[in-house]
Amino acid sequence: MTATAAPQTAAAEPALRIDDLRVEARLADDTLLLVDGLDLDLRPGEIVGVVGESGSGKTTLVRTLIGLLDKNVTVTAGAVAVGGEQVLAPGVDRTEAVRGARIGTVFQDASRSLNPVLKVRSQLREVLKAHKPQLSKAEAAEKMRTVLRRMQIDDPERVLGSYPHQLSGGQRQRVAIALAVVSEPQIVLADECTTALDVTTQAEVVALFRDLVAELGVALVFVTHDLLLAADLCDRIVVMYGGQAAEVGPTRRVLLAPRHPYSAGLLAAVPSWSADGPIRGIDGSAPRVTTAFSGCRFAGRCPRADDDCRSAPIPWSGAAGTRDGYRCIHPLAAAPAPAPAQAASGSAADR
Amino acid sequence: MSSSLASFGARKIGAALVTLLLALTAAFALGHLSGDPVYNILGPLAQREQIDAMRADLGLDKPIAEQYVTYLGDTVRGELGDSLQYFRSNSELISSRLPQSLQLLVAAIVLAILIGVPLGTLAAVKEGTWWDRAASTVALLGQSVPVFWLGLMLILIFAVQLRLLPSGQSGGLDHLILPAITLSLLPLAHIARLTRASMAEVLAEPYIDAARARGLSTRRIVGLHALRNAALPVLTVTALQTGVLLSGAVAVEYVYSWPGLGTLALEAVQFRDYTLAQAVVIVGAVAFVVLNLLVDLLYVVVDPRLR
Repeated sequence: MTATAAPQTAAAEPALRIDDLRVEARLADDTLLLVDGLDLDLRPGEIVGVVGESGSGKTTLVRTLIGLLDKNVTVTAGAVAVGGEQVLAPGVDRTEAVRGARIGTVFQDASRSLNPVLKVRSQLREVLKAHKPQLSKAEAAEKMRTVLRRMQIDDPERVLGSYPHQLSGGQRQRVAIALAVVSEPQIVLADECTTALDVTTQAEVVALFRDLVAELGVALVFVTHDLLLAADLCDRIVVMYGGQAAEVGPTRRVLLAPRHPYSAGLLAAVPSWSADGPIRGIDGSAPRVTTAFSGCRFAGRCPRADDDCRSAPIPWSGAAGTRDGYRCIHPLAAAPAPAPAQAASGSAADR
Repeated sequence: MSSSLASFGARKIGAALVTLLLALTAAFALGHLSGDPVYNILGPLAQREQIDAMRADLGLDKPIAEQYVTYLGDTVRGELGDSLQYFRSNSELISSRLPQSLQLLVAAIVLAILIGVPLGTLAAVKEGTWWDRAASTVALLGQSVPVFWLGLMLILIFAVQLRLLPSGQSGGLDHLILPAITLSLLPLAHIARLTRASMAEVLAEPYIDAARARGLSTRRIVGLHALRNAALPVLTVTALQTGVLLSGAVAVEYVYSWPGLGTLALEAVQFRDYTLAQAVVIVGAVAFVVLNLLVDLLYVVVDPRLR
């Protein structure tokens, strides 16, 4: 009866559901559209990569989800639900209830996201006190050691008794992740959290995230500007541009056969990806999108743009029943067949 | 780690000793630059023999270098000489007045911290709001109102008009209230302004956002995460302000006829009692240096990165 049905609905229910989200910043004489018409489903155990250059709205998205927006920035349309419960809508902000408890966040610079004057132990303990008050002292201590071991820290006692400045950069990042997951959230948001790390440490941190998702069924939003990293880790990719999703789809499909010219442009700018051709940046920079903006946000930098692109809002093209698709009226050709694309792809997407 | 801590301590103590030596030298120079003390004390009608006798008695007939060395030696041994007007030892006079001064000083600085820190914190947290403006106004007033004027006004209102509090002299707690408030206003203003600036800076740090993202209460974030980091500059200014208070206390003690070191210093200056004035300066200098040393060591307690 319900006992068997319940897990199924729970599995079908996205951990995070974003519908037509719109976030605006009111300035003195203008209103900026920071996020516009964004849809996203994130299931338990799924990793979604959000990629795009600076100013594309990635960080605003993360800060919106945990309710850390500046005073002049508000959600003006759409809704966000966590585990089926609405937490954000125009005039609704229940993010305080999920922040830290059901959504853990790892920020860009771990060294600066740890309080320099508090020991790791007290920073972990206060998170447990806030979200797992029922734990006894001994249980909490055990949980702290466990989470650090899960972060591949061999000597948890030493790290617990350390101040952040006494740890290496890699250890600090592990502690920052431990702080985000010690309360056992269903969703983890990772905002450019590998950017400041060297390549080796980066690979280790990515492996940690993969284990977290595989073992705990966490749903992960991995925000990065590093396409190769996203290709390595993510099940699906959202390419953001000017506050909108330019393209959404399974990682392989988006990387091997991008439909949106911006996705293709990002790929051409990755050195090892375009090893057989020249590395090309995308000329220009992301536009300032006000509410008066009309047409395609990428048109000013797009080789395929024509007058139609600039005159009216671009509709979303996607298959029915899924959120995958792209926002372009002159898309690149769909992949002819998987086999040749795979041969051209190189190792990055296969790993 | 502990060896660097030891060398940190040694450096601080060395610097404190140098400061102290300079202060002692300045106190000595003051006593000898303000005219011949013997003439000043005995007046124009004194006889030659009287003058010579007193000179010999005070050791003023010796070469200045010898006087200086004797003075340093005496001071190190804790011998502060005898007062020329009270005919008692200066240390006795000072220790009889010190408790009252300390009482006033501690009350003022505690008041300044207890009000200044929350006021500055409130202003930083509510930046740009009515709270912020109110706190800034209080701070500005505190910095611009002259201490003696404020003292007189408070006496006029609370002692003369409302008859709520005594106008002066030491005694019970009620005697302490007006002088402590008067003395605390300037450091309170400095502490509030600095706390506001320091807190505003810390609140913009990524680790504060990270703490919020972990779902911690605002109270904990502001009261622990931010305040602990903002405390260092506030500590420094508190120590400096306490030093300034030592001099501010002279005016406040005078206005409220408070029998402390400040009034003692005034009496010494008025009577040209240079040994007493010197002794008060020495005690003040030692207090100031020790206080700063304590704050330096307190830094290490507050900020683990300095260890």
